[in-house]
Amino acid sequence: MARAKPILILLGLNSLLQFFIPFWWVIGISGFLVGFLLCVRPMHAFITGCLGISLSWLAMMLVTDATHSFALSKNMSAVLPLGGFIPGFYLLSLFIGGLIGGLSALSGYYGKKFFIDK
Amino acid sequence: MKRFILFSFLSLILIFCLNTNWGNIPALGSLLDPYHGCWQNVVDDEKDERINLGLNEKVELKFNDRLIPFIKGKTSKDAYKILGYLHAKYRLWQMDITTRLASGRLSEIIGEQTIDLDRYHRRIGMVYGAENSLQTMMKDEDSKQALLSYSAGVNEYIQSLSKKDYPLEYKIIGHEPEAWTPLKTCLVLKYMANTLSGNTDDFSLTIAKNALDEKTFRLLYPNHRKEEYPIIKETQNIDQLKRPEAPKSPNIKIDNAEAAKTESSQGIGSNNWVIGPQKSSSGNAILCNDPHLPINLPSIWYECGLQIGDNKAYGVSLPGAPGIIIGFNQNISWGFTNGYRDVMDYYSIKKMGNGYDVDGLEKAFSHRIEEIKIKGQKSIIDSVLYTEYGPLTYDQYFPSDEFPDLKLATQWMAHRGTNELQAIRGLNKAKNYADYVAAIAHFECPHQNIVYADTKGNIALWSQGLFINKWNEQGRYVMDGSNSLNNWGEIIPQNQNPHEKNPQRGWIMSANQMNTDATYPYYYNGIFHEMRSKRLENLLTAKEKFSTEDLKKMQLDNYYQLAHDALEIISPWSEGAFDQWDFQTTIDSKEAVLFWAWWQKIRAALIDDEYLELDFVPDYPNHYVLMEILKNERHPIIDDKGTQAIEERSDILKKSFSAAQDEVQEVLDTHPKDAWAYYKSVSLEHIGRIPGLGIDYIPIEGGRGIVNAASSGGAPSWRMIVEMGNPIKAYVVYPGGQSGHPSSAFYKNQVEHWRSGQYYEAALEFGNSKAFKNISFY
Repeated sequence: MARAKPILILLGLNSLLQFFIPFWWVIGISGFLVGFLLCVRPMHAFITGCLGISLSWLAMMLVTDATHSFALSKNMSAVLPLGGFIPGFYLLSLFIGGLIGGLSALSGYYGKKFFIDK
Repeated sequence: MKRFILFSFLSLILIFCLNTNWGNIPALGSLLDPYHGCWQNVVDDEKDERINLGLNEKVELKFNDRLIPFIKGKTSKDAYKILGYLHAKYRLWQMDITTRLASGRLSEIIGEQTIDLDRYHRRIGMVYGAENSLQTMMKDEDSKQALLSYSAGVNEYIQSLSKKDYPLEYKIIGHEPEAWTPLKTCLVLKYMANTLSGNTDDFSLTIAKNALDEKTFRLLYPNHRKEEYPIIKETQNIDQLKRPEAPKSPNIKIDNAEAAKTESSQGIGSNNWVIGPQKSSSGNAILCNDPHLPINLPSIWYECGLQIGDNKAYGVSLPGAPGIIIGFNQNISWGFTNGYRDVMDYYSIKKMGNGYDVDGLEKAFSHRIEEIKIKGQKSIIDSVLYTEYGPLTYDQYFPSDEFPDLKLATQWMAHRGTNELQAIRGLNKAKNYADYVAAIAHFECPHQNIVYADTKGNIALWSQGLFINKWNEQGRYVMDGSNSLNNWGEIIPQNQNPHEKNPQRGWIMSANQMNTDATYPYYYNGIFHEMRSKRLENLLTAKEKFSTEDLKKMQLDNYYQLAHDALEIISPWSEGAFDQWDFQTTIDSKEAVLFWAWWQKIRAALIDDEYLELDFVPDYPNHYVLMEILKNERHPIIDDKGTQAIEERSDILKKSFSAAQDEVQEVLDTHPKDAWAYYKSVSLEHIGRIPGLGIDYIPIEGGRGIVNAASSGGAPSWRMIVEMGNPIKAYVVYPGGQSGHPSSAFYKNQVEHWRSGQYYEAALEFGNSKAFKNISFY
């Protein structure tokens, strides 16, 4: 369970930072910070970043989309070459958020190794 | 350390890549971010709002259940500000892309694919024309106020947006909204002029005239066909001007012409008609209009009520321009069809020294520097030369497809500083016929047949525009620019434009046919077709009195007049295939498919061999010209000049019929339930061609040349029937919806209603029903 805590912290931190840094790449910053401060192993950092950002994104996606009868994801899954497959659009979004989240947390983890633990 | 650098670098590279558009692939990172990207483009259509627009007086704006606003303003300033705000709120990206297209600024956001299109719009003088109009409009106090208030309204909305609120298309393409200006309104209006009058057949006729012997040319492309169903049955003219003499050799000789896209724009057309009290079962005058335009999502029209002071108007507005374009007020109703009189002519320019030759004298060009910005590349500087005729559209730096060796200048009525806004405002508040005539005098380009009906039972139509007193065939072909006699001369006084008021027969109708009969003294040419007008005239004369229900059926009429008329001649060779057909172009009509396929084959068999040396057909003659030929067994045109044998009518009809059968067999087999609809394939593409945001296929009746003109090139973009009783009752529908936001329930909610031929009731007042949505503006 202790390993999962950073995920929840990242989820919260990322949601909070959106108000101050209104750009999509803010996930890189929040991922890096959590990786730097809270992660104990490379794999732990990657999974934390990946899940933390994905969950933070998924929550927002569901809050906006599901309250509007999924009209948005219906449209976008036809705009992007996903053949109108709505889960495909969710997965693509989560993949991109998760990938950047994971990599930046990993960078954060190695940053700590380099600057602090050396 | 190595790993830190490696993963940081990798993260940054990925972020960069996902933050950038790659060709047609959007910047996925910013697009898919649920906090700021496309996920934020959900819409709360129903939510009430309070908006500060700095109005003189607070306005409680109500929307009905189709999201149509009833705008009220004590002054025009307030009303236009609100209209501008609402246009932007619901159609911002559409307005943006229309003005970019019109002004040759697409490449700025798209990249190099659109450079030629941008150069064309610059070189045809779109911005030049819009700037001239802006000057004229700014001199008229009312127009100036309208432009400024409207722009302020649009900009209030744009300023209220943060990045996450940008319309979806901005996020997909990756650009940002920019401030609205009065010039952009002029560009929207000029773009309409371009759609309706920027498509002349001057090039194709020039090629045909040079390729064919004079007799064949005159036969296939007569200057004026005898028109049985002109709009104006009797021209009323006063003090007519003398027609000028034609110069000796006005046109150019072409040594080599190239094949180009040439089929004249038969898809764009429109119907309007009015019936007077004697033809109306209720005794009220009734006005009908359905302008046929290329249809897209979002729709070209935004429907609204617009009350300024006590003056109430209702109808459709054009996102980007203030006012009701087609509609009605408490006293009158009005509608448009395209007039098609040629107001765009071309001149071949000869270089002389640093300038150009006119009557042996050297004239200096003026220059207009056009900077075309291109996404991801350096700008192109295009220096466009201007002659006394107009801009040099085509030269060695931008050769035309048809005449790559020629320098061609364009003279176009839309270059002039016209003020259509004044006409629109005048119509919106007109109380009677005199007001209508005074208002439309300001409608100078494009040429429109403006139909009129009022609550007193008067009906009228003016074939309206600014026209030149031309010599015979002036501007029908590319003219020699070195002879000043070819230049446009005096303007025909507007009061001599063809018009009719309250004719005895009790109705007036226009459907892109010839404007006038032979009594009209002035020369004009243009692209005119009579299939719809013939059918409408038959319908209008077949019955004593009409109700609005009858007129709805008339707007939705699917009778294939062309097929009826052609089959009278050619059906003996059809093996009985059309014997059971009632000429209705229903969705599943197999006969309609077979007929149109056959007719195209016949057309090719008759005409293609006339251009053996040219190796392409510049444009096919009018359908009724072909029918005249087919009335003869052995017309010289019928013989295939590519063969030794002498072909007769039965030879080519039999051969083309079996070829057509073969061609359509697959469609008939695979689409038994929607053969005709599938064959003509009407779609409703997104205006920016973004896949997934349009409708790929709409199974619908009617078609090109049919009153219900739903074809792939154009379709009834707004069906309106207005009964001028007390109260005024209107029935309307358009293919689209009020909101331009794809996720809105109002993005395409009217499409099925439109497709299936249903109407919504509309009125000047909001009435007592509960508002679907409220906005209070203050």
